Amino acid sequence: MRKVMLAAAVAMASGSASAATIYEDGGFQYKVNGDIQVQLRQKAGDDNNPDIEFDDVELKNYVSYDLNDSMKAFGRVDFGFKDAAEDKQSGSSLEEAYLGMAFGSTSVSFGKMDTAGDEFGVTEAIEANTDEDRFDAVGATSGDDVVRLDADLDALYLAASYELESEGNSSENGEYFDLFVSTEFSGLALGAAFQNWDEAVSSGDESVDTWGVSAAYDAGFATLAMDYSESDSNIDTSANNADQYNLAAKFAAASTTDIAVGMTETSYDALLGLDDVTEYYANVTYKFPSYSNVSVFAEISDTDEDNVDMGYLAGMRVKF
Amino acid sequence: MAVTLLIPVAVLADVSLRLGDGVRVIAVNGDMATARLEAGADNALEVGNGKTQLVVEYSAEVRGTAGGEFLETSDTHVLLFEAHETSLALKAPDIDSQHEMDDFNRSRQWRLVDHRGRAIEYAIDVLEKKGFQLGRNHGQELAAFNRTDSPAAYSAAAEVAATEVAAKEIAATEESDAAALESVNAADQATAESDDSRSLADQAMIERMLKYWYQQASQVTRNNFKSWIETSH
Repeated sequence: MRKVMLAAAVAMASGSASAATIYEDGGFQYKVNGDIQVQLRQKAGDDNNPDIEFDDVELKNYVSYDLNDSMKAFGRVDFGFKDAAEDKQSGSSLEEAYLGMAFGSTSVSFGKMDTAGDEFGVTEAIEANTDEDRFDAVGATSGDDVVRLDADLDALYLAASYELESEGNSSENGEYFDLFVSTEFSGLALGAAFQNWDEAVSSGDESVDTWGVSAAYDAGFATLAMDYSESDSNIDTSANNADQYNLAAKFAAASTTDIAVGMTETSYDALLGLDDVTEYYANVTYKFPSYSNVSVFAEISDTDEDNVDMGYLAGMRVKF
Repeated sequence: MAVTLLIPVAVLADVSLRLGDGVRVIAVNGDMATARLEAGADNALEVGNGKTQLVVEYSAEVRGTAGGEFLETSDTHVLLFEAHETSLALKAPDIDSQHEMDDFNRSRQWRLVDHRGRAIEYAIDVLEKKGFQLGRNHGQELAAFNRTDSPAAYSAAAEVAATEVAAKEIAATEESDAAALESVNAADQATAESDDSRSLADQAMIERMLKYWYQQASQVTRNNFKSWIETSH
């Protein structure tokens, strides 16, 4: 999931960008959001061919009941059809399904959803050839048996999640606990995250601790950001023993056009004998002034791996 | 005393309203055709002096109740304010979470300030439609809203009626002035040189009165007035 960078949490350019509220009456709301992204892409690599890719093809359904002035019940059911669109369909298209209760600025939710660690990261790449950060690399950024707490405390945001072990059940994914905290002041956004992940008993006995810190600064002419994350496994030969950092910068070339450049470097434990991998990218996004939820974009990227050609993509996105 | 009406031909400046990012204007004084405008530092909405009623929404990408990022839009608000010959800015507060958007819907705390950063008073209410929201007819909803006693309700017809009453009063004044003009001018002839300074003071007062009533006039009345100037002078 794309992370919310400091500047990305700012209002969209005006026009007709608006979420679709389908029904609203007596404290009940039903909203639909969508995100459709299609791109022509040639991945960075050795003699790759371009193809049409979908990232994302999502339909998100949200309902909420205002139980009183400070309490709300909510639920979300999100579908993603990206794999089906690319003929890679296997299993359900259901991406998220959860219910929760919100008490003022604090909410508790249960079900299939992303974990708190998924909030971490500052990358501005549209399509990364490497993992976005170590949390994504470990691969436990969502679960089927998640209990999650979110708290908006003035300038501080806290999220904590726990994926139940669910041993012996079909939803068994392992057991992991995530914590994410962020704060923002004077144009500076700071974030920190931690995850303790235990592999599903049926799959093995690996345990990985991952932690990360991030910072993003709105300098007016540009937003500058960086993050560092590290994962340590109890198994010395695991590829989860690595650290990674991201640098990103985003400029507003015009009121409708953003340019982003960045790099990420992943370093593996010496014991693994794997080379460090550095990836570079640059992209441009144009939002139509009359309909800013419609955008077109292009990106080039490359890594320093041997026998890797530069990759590129160009695409279009509609959000509502 | 000379009571000669000087008709100002120059058009007075209107109100320039700059919209913040994410602010969408659906209607201006009931007019929806000209309301779809861009926000941004270089774009401003030009409205006439006097009362202005806006139907507005605010959209932003926000953090969801349980994480993630989603496009969220505020309730549809009706905002009524009064301003004369100034530049204003209309913004919503910084909102980056669903919780903050819910707070904004409850508080309706828009930021309407002039070019010096001073807050401008406004009346505000929600343009509410219960049930299915697809295919909302904001024009019909606003017309019904303006028939209520909401502080943000604005009736252009009532404004025109008030202006017509004022125009009739001015016309009656003009008639009595015209009838007295002959005798006044005859008296002025004898004392014209010594009364120059007093005549200028009268004209200054008349000019102020004309500017005042022009600012109170609706766009329709102004257009009629300008046409009268062009055809009769």
